[in-house]
Amino acid sequence: MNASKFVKLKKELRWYPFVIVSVIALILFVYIPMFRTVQYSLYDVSIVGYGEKFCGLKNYRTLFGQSQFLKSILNTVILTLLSLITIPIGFLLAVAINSFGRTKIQSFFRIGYYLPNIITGVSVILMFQAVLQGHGGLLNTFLSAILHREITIGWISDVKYAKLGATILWIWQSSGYAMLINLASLQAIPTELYEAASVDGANSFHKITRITMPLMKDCFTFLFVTGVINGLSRFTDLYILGGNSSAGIPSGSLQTILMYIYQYSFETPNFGLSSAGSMILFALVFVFTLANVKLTGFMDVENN
Amino acid sequence: MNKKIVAFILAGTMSAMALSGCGSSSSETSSSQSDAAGVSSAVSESTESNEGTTAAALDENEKFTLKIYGPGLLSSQGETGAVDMVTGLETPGYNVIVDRWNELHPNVTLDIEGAPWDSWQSAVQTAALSGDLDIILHGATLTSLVEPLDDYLASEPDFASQIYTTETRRTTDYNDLSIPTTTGIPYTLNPEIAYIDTQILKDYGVDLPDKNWTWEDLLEIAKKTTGTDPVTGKQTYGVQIDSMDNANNLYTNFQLIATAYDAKVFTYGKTVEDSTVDYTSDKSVKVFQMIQDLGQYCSPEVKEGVNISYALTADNDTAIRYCQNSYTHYEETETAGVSDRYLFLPMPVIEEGEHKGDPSIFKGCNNIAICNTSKHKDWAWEFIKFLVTDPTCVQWFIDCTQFPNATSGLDNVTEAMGDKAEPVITALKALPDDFSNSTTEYYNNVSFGPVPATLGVVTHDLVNDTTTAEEAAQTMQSTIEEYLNTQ
Repeated sequence: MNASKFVKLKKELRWYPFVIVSVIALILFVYIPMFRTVQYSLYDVSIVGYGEKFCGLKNYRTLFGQSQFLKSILNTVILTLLSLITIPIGFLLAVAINSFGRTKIQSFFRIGYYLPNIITGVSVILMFQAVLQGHGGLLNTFLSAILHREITIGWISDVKYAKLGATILWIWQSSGYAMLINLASLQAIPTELYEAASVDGANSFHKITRITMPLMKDCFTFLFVTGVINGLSRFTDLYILGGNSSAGIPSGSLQTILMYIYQYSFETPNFGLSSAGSMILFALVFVFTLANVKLTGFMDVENN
Repeated sequence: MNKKIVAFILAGTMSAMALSGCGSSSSETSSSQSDAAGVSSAVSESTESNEGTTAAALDENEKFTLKIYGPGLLSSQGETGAVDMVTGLETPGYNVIVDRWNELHPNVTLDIEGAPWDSWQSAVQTAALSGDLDIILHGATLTSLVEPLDDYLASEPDFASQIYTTETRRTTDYNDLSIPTTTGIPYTLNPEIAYIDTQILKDYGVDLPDKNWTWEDLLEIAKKTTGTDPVTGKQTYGVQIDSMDNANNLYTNFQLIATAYDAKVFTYGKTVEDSTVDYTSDKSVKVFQMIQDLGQYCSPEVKEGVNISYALTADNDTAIRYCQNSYTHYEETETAGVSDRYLFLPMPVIEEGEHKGDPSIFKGCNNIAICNTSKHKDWAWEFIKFLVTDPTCVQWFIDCTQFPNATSGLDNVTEAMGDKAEPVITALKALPDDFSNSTTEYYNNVSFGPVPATLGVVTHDLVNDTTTAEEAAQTMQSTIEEYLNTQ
């Protein structure tokens, strides 16, 4: 290394302490716990620090032999798929809002639809308990008014409707975000393409299906990947809707993998079992994300 | 080039630190295991040293800090006190008891840190890992972390005779499962009590029950008082099942009714493997059936577990409620000026078994336990005795609308609540000596995996009529068996 390079490196080194703080924090609070989780998943450990016995893959065998855990995987997948409905809703909202052009009306709707996303989660959930209540709930009152008969659907207490009720809450919370991302992507499409299509005689439907949607593939992929990851790690809203319990009331229909992990971490402590559950959740998220990225070519160098 | 060097350094540092985290795991595990061994030896040493433990053995010149951590009354009251949002009642903080302790033992400083109820078990476990924790508030259930207290109690029969009950758990940490071990001492008790709106019963022409009532009587009254009140024209409901908005506490209902029918579920052997669980007996199914029948007469809010009001007010719409915190409810009725309207009654009687004729049993409590890694166990025991029986502490509990476990508090409670204290005292006196909500023959939330969560789910389903009593029993049985089979 010649002298000038050494001086340059020395000059730059002064900035690295700022990075090192973050790196140390990352290692301490992310990577070490992560490796610990891998370790505990292979150990019989009820209370951390009070004796751990290596048990191989026993925790994994226990999980896959438990119908409760398998049911929680199924619940998670169903709720995740249902939550993806926010992508088309966000797209439709974005198209509608974009049609106003860059006006104050567009700003109004853009802010209005995004607002639920920045309201504190817990207060939204508590509010939605009242909205989704079977008797006297806002949604049922509205449905009763337009259908001219009394509707008493237990959106969060009836096992038949609980997943739908939880999805309504998710849509209200997340559609604004999907709208905003879609809108940004929509506005990045060159207007010349639409003008050329108009000259060629394309109608609005053709423009959306032949120009807009193909050019927004990356946006949809991004929302799909993040939507799947968020859906798979869903917890807080379902925990509160179920009476501050991880049991997934009603009938365990809202118990996700994360709630199962919580149950065996904090309610009936068995850290070995919950760590194994965490690893399975990690594997699920990893596989889903990898499959999405591969299938859509999202990370291909050419596409970017 | 610079970027490559920096990336190399960062990657190297990260790998080294990550590997040191991993690499140390085996030694840390060993250390943990040795810690655990240390705990065991500490326990046995302490057990040996406890024989003949007396206050006289304490060194009043020794200066140190007693570290206290956990959830419960001390946490909710805080150092300076709290205000009840419903009644506006101001209650004092724990500085009252700290001041009193400092008068008695100026050499020992108290370091009290409250924990919230959310995830309290893991919070206490983490605190205990520090190794300098002396006392665990509400620690009786955390059997791996606490000191067995039977020898302490045996060495001080005077103290044992001054309290209503102890907290016992069946655990293989110290004994076999068939033997209850005392793991904590309650400092306050909250037995389940029924609150009857005499106005609603009068409007429907229903006779008031007496303390010898049964669950069938309760069901019958609930049935008769659900509908449109003939006098006020308002919708009324027969009963409010306890804790429908807190799934983790829904087991209360099963336990209460199971004690009444003597529906024993758990038969304890030496280990979990030697023990048997039977939720499908006729008696257990009868308990589930009663829960389902009561659910028919609950309000929609109670069934759904949303917007439930527990307060006893003038615009009440429910004939019978049952829950803990009777002192708080007494204060509510006083504040609302409806004290005469509500009848406080012990829970329906136990119909079979050893405790036949006593009220159905369920008691909430705030308990206190000694951390088994404490270096000051004798002083910790001294603090427990102080907290449970010192007149200043007993009065503080009453001022905080709690019932003390000390029998000396009886007069104070009667003075404060008048005749409404009678059902509470009846329930307290009827408590079996070694009773614990957590590990009874009717319920266990310590050794049998998903019992609490599943019981919450089936109770919710029964109240909402989405399952039958037989199915609920089968669900419980298969879930627990499945868990045990994989252990």
